[in-house]
Amino acid sequence: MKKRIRIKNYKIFIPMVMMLLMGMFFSTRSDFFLSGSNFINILREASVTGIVACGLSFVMMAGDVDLSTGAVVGFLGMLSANFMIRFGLPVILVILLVFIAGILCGIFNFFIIEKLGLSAFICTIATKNIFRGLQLVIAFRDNYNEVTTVSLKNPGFLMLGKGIGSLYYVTIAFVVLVVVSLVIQKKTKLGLHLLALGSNRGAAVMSGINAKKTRLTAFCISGAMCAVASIFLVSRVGAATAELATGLEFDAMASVIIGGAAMMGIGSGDTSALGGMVGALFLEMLINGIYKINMPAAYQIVFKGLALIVMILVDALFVFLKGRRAKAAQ
Amino acid sequence: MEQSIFLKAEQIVKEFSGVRVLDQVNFEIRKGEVHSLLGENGAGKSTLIKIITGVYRKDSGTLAINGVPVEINNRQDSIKNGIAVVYQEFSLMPTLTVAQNVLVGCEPSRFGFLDKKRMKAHVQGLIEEYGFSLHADDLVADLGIAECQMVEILKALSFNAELVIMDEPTSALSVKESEALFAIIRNLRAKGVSILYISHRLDEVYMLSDRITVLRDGKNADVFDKEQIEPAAVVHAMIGKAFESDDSRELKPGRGDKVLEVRGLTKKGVYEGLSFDVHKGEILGIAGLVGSGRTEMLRGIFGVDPYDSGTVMYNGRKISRNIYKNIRSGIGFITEDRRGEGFVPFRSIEMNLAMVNYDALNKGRVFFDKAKSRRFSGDVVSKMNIKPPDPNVKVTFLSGGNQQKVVVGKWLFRGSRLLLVDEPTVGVDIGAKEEIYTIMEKYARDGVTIVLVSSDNQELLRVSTRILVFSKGRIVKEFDKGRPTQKDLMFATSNLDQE
Repeated sequence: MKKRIRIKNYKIFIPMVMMLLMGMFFSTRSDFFLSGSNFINILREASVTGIVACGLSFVMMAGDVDLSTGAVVGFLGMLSANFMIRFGLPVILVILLVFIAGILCGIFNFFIIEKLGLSAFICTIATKNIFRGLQLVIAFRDNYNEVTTVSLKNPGFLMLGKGIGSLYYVTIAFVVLVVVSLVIQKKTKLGLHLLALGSNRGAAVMSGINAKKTRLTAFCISGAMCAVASIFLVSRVGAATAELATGLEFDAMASVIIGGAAMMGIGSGDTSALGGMVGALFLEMLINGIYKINMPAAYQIVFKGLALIVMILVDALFVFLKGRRAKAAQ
Repeated sequence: MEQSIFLKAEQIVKEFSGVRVLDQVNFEIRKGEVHSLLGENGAGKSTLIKIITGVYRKDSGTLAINGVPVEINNRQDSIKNGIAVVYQEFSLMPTLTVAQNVLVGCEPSRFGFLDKKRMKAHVQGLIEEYGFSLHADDLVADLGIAECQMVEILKALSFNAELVIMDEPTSALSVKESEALFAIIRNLRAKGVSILYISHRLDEVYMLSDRITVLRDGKNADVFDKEQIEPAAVVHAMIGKAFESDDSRELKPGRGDKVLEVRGLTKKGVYEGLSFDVHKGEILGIAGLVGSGRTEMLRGIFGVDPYDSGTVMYNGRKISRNIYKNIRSGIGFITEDRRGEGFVPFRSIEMNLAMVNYDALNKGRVFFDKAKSRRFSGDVVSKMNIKPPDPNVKVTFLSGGNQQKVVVGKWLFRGSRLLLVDEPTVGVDIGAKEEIYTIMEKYARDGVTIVLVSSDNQELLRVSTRILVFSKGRIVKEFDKGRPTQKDLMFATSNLDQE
């Protein structure tokens, strides 16, 4: 039977093609778009979102969602600033503590979902608020008790926001994490179990998969990735603000979805760290391009939403066509 | 040649709330035999299976595998003893491949990393050994029903099951696919795997089985060896002498105004060339096995699902494909899925009854007429003897029988002239059943026409004035005179009439 050569993850080509078209469009409209330094910018900006999307892809593969990622990044960022300024801890220790805190946030998220027994969607909206609140609680205040931004002066920490020549550390971390995540997702038992849970949770449980342990692991990974992202974000910005990482959760989710999940396919084999990466790059190119051709920044948000809709529609189209082909073959 | 016994169950007893569902049942399966378990709905078949597969715990009795006494208290125990089940509803993961589905949960791995080569080789090996038309890398989402079933069977084989239980395996398969399945079953038997086959399709059972065990009312009725299998004797064992004589009605051919005329109704793969008439005041019973297309036909006539070709005339005019219009013109539909489509559970009886009757209750008004709705629901509750007789009670708190009365009441009291009824008394106790039958008969006498689809042959014989028999999407027989027996119906529904 010669139908062996089937491209399984075809959906990832769609955002790639779209990026190509977008790139061509922007480069004709702007002189500043098509340059090496601009691409490095795009990569760098996409990296933070991309790292979070990476972790999120684990959660979404298993059929859950996490709307609190942005809040976790914000909270952890504020936490790192607190460690450095209020406690004067060394950078290495700060990174370690924030990393552990990220995992704890993941555990907390899953704990709430299990205890309340409600969907991850509702629960992570709740935890999102909790983390944002905590971020404000530990925020720095001025003499009038208003929240204020305090700059970070620790050179070792700020160095993380830079890179070697044009290669930013955050980009290196991004690529490394994507590769590691992909390996876990495609080649390990954990990856298969996550995929199984997302595909048909009941069947997966009946096959002996420990749903609790596996889902918890996914949330912990997501929390850990948020920790990494927050370190890089704060080190580049140089301060921890109250608005840190606002809206990041939507960008991260959009990245995973554009990269192939699409709400219908969440838990499908197309949800992956690679998808998250492609999606993050896509979004960032979109934002960058719109800025470069001098469109008002507000358009960025509009087009982000449109891109999401287009991706979901294309996914639905594929599913529909596949169903038609299968019916005809019967 | 003495064939060794794989599974032996002795004196199995299982009670639910004081009712003995299994009463001192004995059962044995030999190695490498195809053994069928027959019995009417409620005879205890599925309970026995659930005990063997560890879903239920037996109250008393013994189980032995290969001569060794065992306790099966959960699914793990059952699997450990080499017992596998293939149900009608598949539990597969559509976005995973065949190999992944078969091996998930017991994947070959090293330090957490999957040995994909070994997985594929293992599954592909099984596929080739048993001659399935599958590939280990196929995505389950791309597979048809027959192929999904094969994956389920593969799952069983992958952990070296010695007994594969198949529950109604051919109900969703085409003739060709069924043939392929039979070949697989024979192959399995040749390799020493026992098959426990459960099906209402008696023709298949007779063809495949080495032995048949018949249960009736939770007790052993009979065991037949292949040479002893004689259709009449088997059916007799299933329904027992007590049901031969009946309070079934005297059937009559259709007479009078034609309320419904169906011609050539066809829906590809579901039903074909259906043609029949329904006359005013008739209760036309539609018999047949699950999957024979009866429910789908009813839904097609009412307008819920589309059909491919054919015509339906209602009172001499082409029926509308619009449900709302059909309701307005006096057609009512009582669904077989009462919990899913019959009522709104968290609303009161009154709200539910009012739901399809807004037009009658609120004629000429903008706002809802609460007083009229209250009177209406009070009327229905008392006439249908709904307990508790309080229209404010939320329907979810009623018993199954009373819920069904709400569903039936909804339509009857609207003054529907044609009622399409699908499995009206599933899960309803005897008392409520009789009440519903009496109400249906009363309305038929008043000129309401009823088309009744039911899998309960006793019920059909009790209520119908004429009976059509469906099989595999076609009408195969009509009973319109005399008093047919349950045996007659059973023969007709299982396609055994060629004698």
